[in-house]
Amino acid sequence: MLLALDIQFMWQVLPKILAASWVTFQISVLAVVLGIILGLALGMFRVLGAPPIQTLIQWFVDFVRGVPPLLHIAFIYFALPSFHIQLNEFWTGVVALTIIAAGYEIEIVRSAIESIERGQREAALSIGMNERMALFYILLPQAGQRMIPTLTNELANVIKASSLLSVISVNELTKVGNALIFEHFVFAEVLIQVAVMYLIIVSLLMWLSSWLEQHFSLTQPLQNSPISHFSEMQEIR
Amino acid sequence: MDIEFIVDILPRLLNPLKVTLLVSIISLTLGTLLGVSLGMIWVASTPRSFQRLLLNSYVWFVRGTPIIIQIYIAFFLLPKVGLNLDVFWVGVVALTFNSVGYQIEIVRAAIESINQGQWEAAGSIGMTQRMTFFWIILPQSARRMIPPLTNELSNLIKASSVLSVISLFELTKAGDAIIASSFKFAEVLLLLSVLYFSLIQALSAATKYLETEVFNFDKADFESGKTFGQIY
Amino acid sequence: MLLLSVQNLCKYYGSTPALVNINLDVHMGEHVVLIGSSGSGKSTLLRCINYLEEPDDGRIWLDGQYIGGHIDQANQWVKDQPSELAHKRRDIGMVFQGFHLFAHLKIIDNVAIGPRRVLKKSKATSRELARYLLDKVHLGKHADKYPWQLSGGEQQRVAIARALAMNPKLMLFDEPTSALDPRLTHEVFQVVQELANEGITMMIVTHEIKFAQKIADTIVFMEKGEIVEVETVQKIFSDPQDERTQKFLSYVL
Repeated sequence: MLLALDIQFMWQVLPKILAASWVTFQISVLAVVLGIILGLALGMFRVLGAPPIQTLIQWFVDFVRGVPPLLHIAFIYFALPSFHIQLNEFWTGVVALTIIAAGYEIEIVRSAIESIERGQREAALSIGMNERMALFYILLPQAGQRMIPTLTNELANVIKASSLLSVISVNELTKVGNALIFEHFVFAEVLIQVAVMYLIIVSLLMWLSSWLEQHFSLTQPLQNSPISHFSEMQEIR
Repeated sequence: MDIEFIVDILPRLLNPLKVTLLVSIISLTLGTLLGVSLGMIWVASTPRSFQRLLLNSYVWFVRGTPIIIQIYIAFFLLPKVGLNLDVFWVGVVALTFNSVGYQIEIVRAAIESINQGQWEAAGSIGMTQRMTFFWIILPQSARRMIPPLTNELSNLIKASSVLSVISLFELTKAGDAIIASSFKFAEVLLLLSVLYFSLIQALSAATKYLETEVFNFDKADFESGKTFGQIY
Repeated sequence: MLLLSVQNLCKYYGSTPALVNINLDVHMGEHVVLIGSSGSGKSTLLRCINYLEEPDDGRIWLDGQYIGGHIDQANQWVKDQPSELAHKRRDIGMVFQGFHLFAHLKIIDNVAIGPRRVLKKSKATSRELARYLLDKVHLGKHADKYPWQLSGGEQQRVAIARALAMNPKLMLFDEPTSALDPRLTHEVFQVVQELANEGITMMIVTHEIKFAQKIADTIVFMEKGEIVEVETVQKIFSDPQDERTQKFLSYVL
C-alpha cells in the first residue's frame, strides 16, 4: 500500500534530516552572502566599468546562467584540487554555489541600479556630486532597498540549487536523504520528509520575500517597482 | 588543454546531445499542453474553489522543492504504482511535472496581463464571458506566452542535466562517464559547457528575435515585468 | 556685471538640430524667463548650461570660467575631467520638472546631503543649514518626512531648497510647475518670487505667461532651437518685434 508509511522510522531519522537541513541552510546563506559581495562588486563594474570590463562581466553572467549548475559544481569539484586548493566538501560546495549565485546576483544588482529613474542621477550631478558619489550616496542605497525582496527570493533559489551538491557528496539534505534511502530501502518516508523540509524553508523565504516587497512598496508608493525576479524567468532549478 | 582529445570525444557526445534535446522538447510540449489547460482552469475558477486550491498547491510544491527531489520521486514512485517505464520516460514525466508548475504561472500571468478594458469592450458589444475569453483574451495572451515558453525550453535543457542522477545517458551523464574513464575533467567540462551554452544561446537568440521582431506589438507592457512579479 | 555668457551654442540629436547658434548673456541678479512652444529647445538650453547635456559646439562661460572645459596656454580647448565638471556644477542650481528628490532620504537629508557629502561640512552644520532653508521654503515642519509623503508642490519646494544649499551663483528652473495643479503651482511660484526678491540670479523655463510677466526682467522667446527675440518684459509684451513672437503671444495671452 502506497500510503502505509512507517511513522516510527520517520520519527527515528528526523534528527538526521533536521541536521542535514541545517547544513543546507548554512551553505546556502554563505553562498548568497558571498555571492552578494561578489555580485555587488562585479555588478557595479558591469554598470560603470570600462566597456571591455562590462563585456567580460556580461560573459561571466551569460556563462553562469547559460550552463546547467551541475557543470559548475563538477568543475569546481575537480578544479580546486588541481590548483592545490584543498577544501572539504562543505566549503567546495560553498565555492561552487557562490559562483552560481554571483552570476544571478550581478544581474539583480544591474537591473536594480538601472531601474532607478534617470532623474535621480541628474539631480545628484546638479548639486555637484561626481559619478562615484552619485552611485554611493544616491543610487546604491535605493537599489539596495529594491534588491532586498529579490535577494530573499534568490536565497530560496539557492537553497533549491544546493540540492545538486549531493552529487559531490556534500552532506546536505538531499545527500542525507539519498543515503537513508539506500541504507534502509525505504523511499516514500524519506522523500516525504526531505520534500517537506525543502517546502518549509523555501516557502518561508518566498513568503518573507513577498512580505518585504509589500513592505517596501508601502513606504514608497511612488517608486514601488522592486525588480521582478521572474521578469526573465531565469531560475536555478 | 588536449585539443585532440576534445575532437576525439565530440562524436561520442552527439547521441547524448540528442537525448538532452529530445527529453527537453518532449517535456516542453507535454508541459505546454497541460500547462495551458490547467492555466485556463486556474483563471476560470473562483478564488476559493477546489480547483484553484489544488492547482495552487501543485504550483507551490513544484516551486518549493528542488528538481532533483522531484526526479527521485518519479524514479521511485512510478514503478511502485505499476508503471515500469524506461529511464528516458521517467525523465520526461519528471521534467513535465516540473515544467507544468512553472507554465501554469506563465499562462496565468499572460492572461491576467491583458488590459481589463478588453473584457469591458467585448461585453459592450454583447459578448458573453466565455466568448470574450476565447475570441478576445486568449488570442492576445497566446502571443504573450510565446517568449516565456521559449525561455522555458532553455530552463528545461539546463534542468535535464539533473537526470544524470537517475542514469539517463544524456549530455551530463555521458560527460561524467568520459571523465571517469579518462580523468580529463577540464576538457570534458569545457566541451559540455560549450555544447549546453550554444544550444541555450541559440534558443535565447530565437526568443529575442521573437520578442523584438514578431511580438513587439505590445513590448512596453510586456517588459514592464509586473506580470511575472508575484508568485500567487 | 556679467554672470553667464552662452556663446555660439549648438546641440544636435543625431542630425536634428536642438539648439542652433545660441548667444545669450545673463547679468547678476537678473531674472530671465524662457518661453516658446514645446520642443523649441528651452529645456535643452538649460540642460546644456550645467552640462547635463554636452553641447556639440560653443561655450558656456560662468563668472570667470568656462563650464565643461578650459582654454590652456596654447589657446587650445581642454575638456574638464569629471571631477572638475562636478566642482563647477556646484555654482549652478537646478530644479527639475519631475522634482527628483532622493527617494531614500528624509526631507532634511535631501537638502543636507549636498553640503554634507559634496562640501564635506559636518553633519550638524549641514543639518542646520538644511533646516534654515526648509524654513525659507515654508516646509520646516516636514523635515523628518520622506518625499513620498509630500504633495508635488511641497516636493518641488524641497528641490529648490536642495539646490539653494549649495549656494549657487545661478539657479535654473526647468518647467518647475508643469507637473502641478494650479494651487500647487501658486505655492511654488510664491517661493520662486521670494527668492527673486532676494536678488538671486535665475533662468526659468515655463509655460505660465502670467508668472513670467510678474517675475521676469528679461524674456527670451525661442522657436525651433533658435533665439528669436530677447527683450525686457515691458517691451516684449507691449511691442513684440518679430512676427513669430507676435504670433506666439497672440495664442497665450
